[in-house]
Amino acid sequence: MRRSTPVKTRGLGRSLAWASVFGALVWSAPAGAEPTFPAALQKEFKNQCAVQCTLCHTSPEGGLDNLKPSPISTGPVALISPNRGTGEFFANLIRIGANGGSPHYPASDDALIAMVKLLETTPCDKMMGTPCDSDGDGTIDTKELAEDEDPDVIDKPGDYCLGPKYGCGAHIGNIPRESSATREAAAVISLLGVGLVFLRRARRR
Amino acid sequence: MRKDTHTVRTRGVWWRVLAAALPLLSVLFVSKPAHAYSWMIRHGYSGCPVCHADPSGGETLTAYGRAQSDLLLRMRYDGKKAEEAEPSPASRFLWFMDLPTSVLMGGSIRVASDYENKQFSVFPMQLDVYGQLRFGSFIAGGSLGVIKTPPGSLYGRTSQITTNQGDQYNLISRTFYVGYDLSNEFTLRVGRLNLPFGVRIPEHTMWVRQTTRTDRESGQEYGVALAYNAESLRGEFMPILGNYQINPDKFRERGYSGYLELMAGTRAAIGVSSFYTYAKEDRVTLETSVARGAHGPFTRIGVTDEFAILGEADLLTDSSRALGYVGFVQGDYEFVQGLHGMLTVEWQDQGQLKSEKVAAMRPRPGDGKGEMGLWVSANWFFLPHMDVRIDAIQRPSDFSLFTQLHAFL
Repeated sequence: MRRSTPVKTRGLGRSLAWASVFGALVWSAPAGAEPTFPAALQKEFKNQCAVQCTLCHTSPEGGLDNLKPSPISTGPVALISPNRGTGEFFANLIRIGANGGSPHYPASDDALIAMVKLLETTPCDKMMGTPCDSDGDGTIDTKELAEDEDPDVIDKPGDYCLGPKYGCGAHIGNIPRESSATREAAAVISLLGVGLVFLRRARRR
Repeated sequence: MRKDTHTVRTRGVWWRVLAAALPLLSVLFVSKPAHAYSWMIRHGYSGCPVCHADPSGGETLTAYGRAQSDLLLRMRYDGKKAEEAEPSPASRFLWFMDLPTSVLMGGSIRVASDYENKQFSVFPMQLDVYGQLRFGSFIAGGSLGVIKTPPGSLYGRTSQITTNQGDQYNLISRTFYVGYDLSNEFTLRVGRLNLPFGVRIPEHTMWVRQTTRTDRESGQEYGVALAYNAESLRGEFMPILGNYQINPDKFRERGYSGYLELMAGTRAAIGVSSFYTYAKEDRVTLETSVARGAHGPFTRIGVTDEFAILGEADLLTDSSRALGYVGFVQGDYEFVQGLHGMLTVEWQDQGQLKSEKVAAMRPRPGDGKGEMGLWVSANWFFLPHMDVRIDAIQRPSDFSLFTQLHAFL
């Protein structure tokens, strides 16, 4: 009679452990409103850093409520700092990315990259046969992106990475790892947890 | 004898639950601060060092703080009043571990869900461990954690030790320091520290903490802090030497931050805080030559045993913006021990950027125009070291329903 409670608890612990393992293994990076576009561009163009949100937004924190003007919304632009672009790149991206259909914002990383690829191959307008050069400096936007340059600004190479870098003695970051690393890390720690349960049980015996 | 057997069993259960929970903890990789409940003033606790290693409160608990957390903070199911009860064995580090008196250890783990803009997301928020060692009057402490934040997000970035700039994992340290107790009242610390400013609340996204950048999620700076804690007066002043985890140097802010708080009665305190820094370039707005400041009063009042009020109002001075303001008032009612309901009103106008290209812009809420936010919150401390919290946050820009499960080690 007195042993009934521990037995039940042990069953509960085991269930929790296995449920946790299952949960951790199927865990994937959260979807939804995560601002992953800078990382997607960084990966696509193999940039030395992730682009600042101000390439397309009026705030360094990004967000749907502060997008720069485009064929969808032509509201006023709040420029972030002196000599930053006025948003032609974003407007061109939305316009060309529509590919003849209704202009829309990209709904995923893949959709964004598809729009960027269109920007690379589609003439900016009927008069000009070349892809968009938003800042008019003679270099098309996608080439500027590949060279760590801000396609909205006539400036120096590397100005794409104009914000602060974080970390001790921070150098410019690497290309983001694949998301499977998340699951691998979770699985390793999960197994550690299960191991602890069995180790504890073995010691008791 | 039966009690001993029960204690052993209880320890075993907690150990098993902890081990079983470890895999779940493996998904917890992002950031947010731990706990510092300024409304503890309702119990007559005006000062912080009694319960926390940080002289201005937050994170690492002292042994006494652990006991009070168990007696006063969590819901009790044994029918005993706090003054009749003994701290449970589960109040120890990791629920079961006794530590030497010279060692303080702790940690904080949070999982959250958010419903915002018609989108629901579940995400890990925090995995931090922290502690402090004492050698006589010398102290040394700090924290280590892991974050995974998207590019563009400012959360946790300023605490990075590793240097990944994308959405990779990063090792972080929010605080690390060495210090010396100059006397019973004075403590001197050098290192990376929480900024002494205003009411030390856990809601790091509340405007009063986020706009002033004085939150404990990512607002720490390198500096030298002198703290004073006496019965009726407490304060801390910290010359800020810059955050050396932000590069290059032009983005580092240097100046000072400090506060002074006077007890006005046994359960009421009023204080004033001030903050002023200069950076060659602002890390958020990228404006150049920015002198940023915040100055204003704050208060904490334990109105009754159940009801406490916190409030703060700051004037914002920023050389790149027009004059601004930010503040909040929060009422916290403890329905039964361990179950809190909170109503918070916050307001702000950061001041519009002065840049010529922006000057023609219409002022927006919070950016040249005042805005208000309302938080309706509930916090249930349902087990030792564990609580669940829900916040319904209405701001002009959006509505958010935010929940979090929090365990502190």
